[in-house]
Amino acid sequence: MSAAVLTGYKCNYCRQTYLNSSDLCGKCGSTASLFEFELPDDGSIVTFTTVWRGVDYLPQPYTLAVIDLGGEIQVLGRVKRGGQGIAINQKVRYAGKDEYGHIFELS
Amino acid sequence: MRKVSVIGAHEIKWGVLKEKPLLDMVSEAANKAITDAGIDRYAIQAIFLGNAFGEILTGQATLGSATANILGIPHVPSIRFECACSSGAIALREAFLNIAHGVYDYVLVVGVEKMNTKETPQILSAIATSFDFYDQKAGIVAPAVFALYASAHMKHFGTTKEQLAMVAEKNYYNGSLNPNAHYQKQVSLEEILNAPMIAEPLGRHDCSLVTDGAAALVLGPAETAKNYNSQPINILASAIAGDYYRVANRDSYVSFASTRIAARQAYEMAGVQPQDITCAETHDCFTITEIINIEDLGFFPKGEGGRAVQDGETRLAGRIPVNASGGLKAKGHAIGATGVGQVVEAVTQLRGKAGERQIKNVELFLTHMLGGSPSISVIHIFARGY
Ligand SMILES: [Zn+2]
Repeated sequence: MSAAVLTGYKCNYCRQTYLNSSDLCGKCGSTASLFEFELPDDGSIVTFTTVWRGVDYLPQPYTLAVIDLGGEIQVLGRVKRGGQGIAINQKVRYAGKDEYGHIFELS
Repeated sequence: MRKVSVIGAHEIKWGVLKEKPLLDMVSEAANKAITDAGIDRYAIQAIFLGNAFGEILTGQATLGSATANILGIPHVPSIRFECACSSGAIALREAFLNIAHGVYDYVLVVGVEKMNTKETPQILSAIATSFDFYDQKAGIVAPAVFALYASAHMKHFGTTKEQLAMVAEKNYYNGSLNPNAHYQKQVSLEEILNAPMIAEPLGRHDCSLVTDGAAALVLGPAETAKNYNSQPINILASAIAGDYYRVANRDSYVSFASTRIAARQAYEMAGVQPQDITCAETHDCFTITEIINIEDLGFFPKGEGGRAVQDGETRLAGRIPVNASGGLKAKGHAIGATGVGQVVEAVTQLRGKAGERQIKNVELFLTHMLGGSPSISVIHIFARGY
């Protein structure tokens, strides 16, 4: 399986990073300065929760976590646990995205 | 800036009010606040109303105009403010600022929310509109946001599930003494701890109630307040601050930056220290939120909120009683009304009229609401004006 790639966007002018592309940088207003870059695949869990009563389009329970990607950006994503335990500071790897958002798996 | 007083205050009994139309709730709260103020309604120069989900849950927007009309003063400027849970607190702040700066003399503040109009999933979807679009899609719901904070606080400070449960137990107890509370029964620690999980580590009893409610205040200049009500309550401070909207963008999951910033501003404006505050109503949308708030408001050092709750410091007879009304947990969380309801509690306590839940020797009362993801914090400080 080829490694999933998480793309970020960075402003060439003020260095603000974004997860979604845009016509201009919201922080400094600079136009045509956002460039695509590849975010690190490996990250660690800043905090997490397993949701038992959540949105109806995701199978319950699902685990949500704030993931720190190499100090570059923090991302909210679902974590595939495969029956394993989970803890703050645990290492995770980017596993791709679906129509709802980003997915990570325990390293 | 002129000093501003609350000269009238009233809230209806909160609960599941399926039979009571939205505007009847507004009318009852507003008319009784006007009566409490002893003011002629034609002296009211503006109406500021807090409401979050009028369109989604009741099919009625433009609640400013609807309110002025039902009160028989259709030509008075009447505006609705929306900022999720802090909608009512923001309406209050805008009224305060307008009077303080001499734009108006007398302003009616209303908070109203009718939540129990649909099935639970639709109500939860309405609440989720308070969050960033991508966060919503990713599966964020209100309990999940605060569960992220609970996990971090437990990890970093050793805060326990029992301490979370003690917040709920305390607020249920306080609510059992409040005739206006949505839920007026005590709940045992054991029952709270054994409740089904909603978003780990938060169980059903860690979550606030889905409540219909309305509350209203009449504000005016302090210098003429006693011409209307013999027990006016002065607003010593009004402060507000924001935070990153997307949940993953925060620097910390053990503290709300907006609360720390707004608190610093509020204490400076009032010329007081956190330890001078007698008691507070603070945003306990989830039990962990109250623990983090009492730290961020400076009542206890960071990380010691859970211990303070365990030691009974925030109970009615404790060092700094928190959520004497029952809070969002037991008095209920009628989103846009909650911030105004907190001030009704402040007025009631400062006037010494809180009955069985009366706190002794109340001098300075602080109210605090979070709103959004939470991406906003609103704080007011009150003292007697008589
Ligand atoms: Zn930029």
